Amino acid sequence: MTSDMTATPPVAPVDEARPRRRGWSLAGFVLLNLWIVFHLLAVVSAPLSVSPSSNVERGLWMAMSPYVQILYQNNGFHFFAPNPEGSNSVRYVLEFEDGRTLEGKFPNRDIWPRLLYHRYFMLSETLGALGGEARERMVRDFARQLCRDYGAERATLFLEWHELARRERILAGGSLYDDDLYQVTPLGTFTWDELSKSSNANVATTSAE
Amino acid sequence: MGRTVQIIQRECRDYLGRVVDNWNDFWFTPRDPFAMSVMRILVGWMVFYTVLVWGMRLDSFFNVDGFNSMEMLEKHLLVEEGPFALSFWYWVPDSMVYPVHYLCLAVTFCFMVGLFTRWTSILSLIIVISYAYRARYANYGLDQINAILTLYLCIAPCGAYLSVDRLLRRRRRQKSNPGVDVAPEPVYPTLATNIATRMTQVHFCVIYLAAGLGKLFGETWWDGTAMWRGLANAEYQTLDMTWLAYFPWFTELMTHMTIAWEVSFAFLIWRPLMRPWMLLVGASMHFGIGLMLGMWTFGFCMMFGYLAFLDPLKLRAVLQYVFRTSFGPDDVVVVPPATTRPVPAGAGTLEHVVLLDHSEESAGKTAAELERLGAGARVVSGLDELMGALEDEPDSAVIANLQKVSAEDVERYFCSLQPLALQNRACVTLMRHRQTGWLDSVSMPDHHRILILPCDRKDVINELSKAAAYLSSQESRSRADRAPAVGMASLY
Repeated sequence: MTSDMTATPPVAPVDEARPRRRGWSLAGFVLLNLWIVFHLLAVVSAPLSVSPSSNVERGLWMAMSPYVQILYQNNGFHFFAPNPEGSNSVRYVLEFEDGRTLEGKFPNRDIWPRLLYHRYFMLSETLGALGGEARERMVRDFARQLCRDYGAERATLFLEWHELARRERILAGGSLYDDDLYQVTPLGTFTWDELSKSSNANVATTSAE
Repeated sequence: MGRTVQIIQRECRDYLGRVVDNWNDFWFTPRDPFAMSVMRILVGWMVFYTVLVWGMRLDSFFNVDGFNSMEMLEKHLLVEEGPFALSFWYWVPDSMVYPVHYLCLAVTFCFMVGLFTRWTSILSLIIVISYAYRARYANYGLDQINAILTLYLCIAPCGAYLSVDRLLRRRRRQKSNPGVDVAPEPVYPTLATNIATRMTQVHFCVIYLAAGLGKLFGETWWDGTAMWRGLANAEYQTLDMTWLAYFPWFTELMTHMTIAWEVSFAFLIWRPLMRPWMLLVGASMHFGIGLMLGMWTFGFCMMFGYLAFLDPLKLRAVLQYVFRTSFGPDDVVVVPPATTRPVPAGAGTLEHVVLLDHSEESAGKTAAELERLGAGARVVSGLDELMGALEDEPDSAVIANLQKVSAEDVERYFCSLQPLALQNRACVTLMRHRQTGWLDSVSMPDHHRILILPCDRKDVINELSKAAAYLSSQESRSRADRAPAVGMASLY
């Protein structure tokens, strides 16, 4: 009398234990099996499609992508892969109408709760990973939102790359926050007028589409 | 030559039959929904919390021209990911962002407490997906795992236990039976629960395998420095772990263990002896990531998924013991205490049991269990032997394990033995899914119980005693009053 590892060992009502006999037509049972196989293929297609991948893997991904996209199962699960790397932050300088300036950065430790901190962190990480037109567009979005949040007239943004400290540095008396571990890239300066105009234009475009 | 072909054909048929049996056992064995109900509370809480936290910066993340502007989504996300990356937020104007958000909070709260669970589970999935796509550039692992677990909770009847729905159902029954103390309704194992549980298990295997294999591309996972690099990331770090620089062997060991665990999870988790260890190491890893890198929500969510790997009945028993309460009637799961003989007074038919089992080991254990309960057992290993034993002992009950007998013997059992020699005996037959085709074509009296895998010895004996009790009660009634013994046996 064998038993399954985790499946219910106790007595199951017989009508429950016989999917094909009650309520399930043969066609239904076959469809259920086909869906199970299809879903399993869909589940593996997303991680398989992460580069480097073969034509077969990419073909599978293309076939499955509508299904996995709708269900948001389109994730590669390559956590901390291939290597844990340093991280990106967005630094900003906001200038106000009265001449004041405010310097800040996200993510920062004042953002609470931790889940919200991670949201900001992912924004800056995404920005760091993007290039070209997409990055420019995202920078403008960030600048616009920061101006709106603080009521600023002008925003200057920088991308700050924080390289990881090696173990030898710590042993030699260094720290994770040594100045030479930071690399700052200017992203541009934007005025609220310009940003709000482009925003209105975009909204109008969006509506028209 | 012809004989060889026949042997090969038979072996192939047997092999395919076993494949089908295993597939059916894996996917279509009914499972109790207790673990999925507990998972609903925990995942529901996480989904609710996620939505709640989005509410703290709703304008920034969800406005048409916020951090995740619609222009950005239309020109990049929907181009790169395709037109199916759908979210209801695409059509929510800025003025309606807060009302829609509060509605989502209410729905996810209902899902967590199990109110209108069937609907709120599906709506919660839509909410999880919609928030994730709308704020795509602020997503991370938590959103992915939330979506995976909520998807499978939509399939399972996750409101069966520990839910407001269950309370309401009980209250309705109480109203319709005034003055009677209405017991909680029994919850039966279901196929949907099993399919959802198996999907979760397989999905977690895929997640860890993909994570492990992805890491194998990186040299730091080979030279042992990856764990140090993770801990030295100041933006992630919540605890200062730089003192570990003095203990490189430790971080290197942790690096290698992480890889070994992730890559092997998909294979070892199915081994019963390894399962607790795999889950324990996984929980420790996620707890460590939560503690040191501040990713508590992600870690907890992964650990919630581990519930799919736990036996729902054992989990239920443990929680009932811990909380000193009952989560429902136990008649489905509890075997009578060993000190109480499960044979009802007057039945008497379990004094002797004829036990058909091809496995000596299994037969010996069942016989020992019967003996412990005061019933003698005669073990036989073939149908002919069984027929002889039944002639010798006209009052004995029967336990027949058909799981490993040939198709011909199953046919003989139902066509020859069942209508004659087994007609007036308490009888339990154990079968595999593949063999159940016969059940449609024979008349089965209610004192003939059919058990389909999986079941254990105690279940078998418990069912046999129920069959004996039923037979005994039927014997005491006039023949005309007997329940019609047509169709499949009902265990309840």
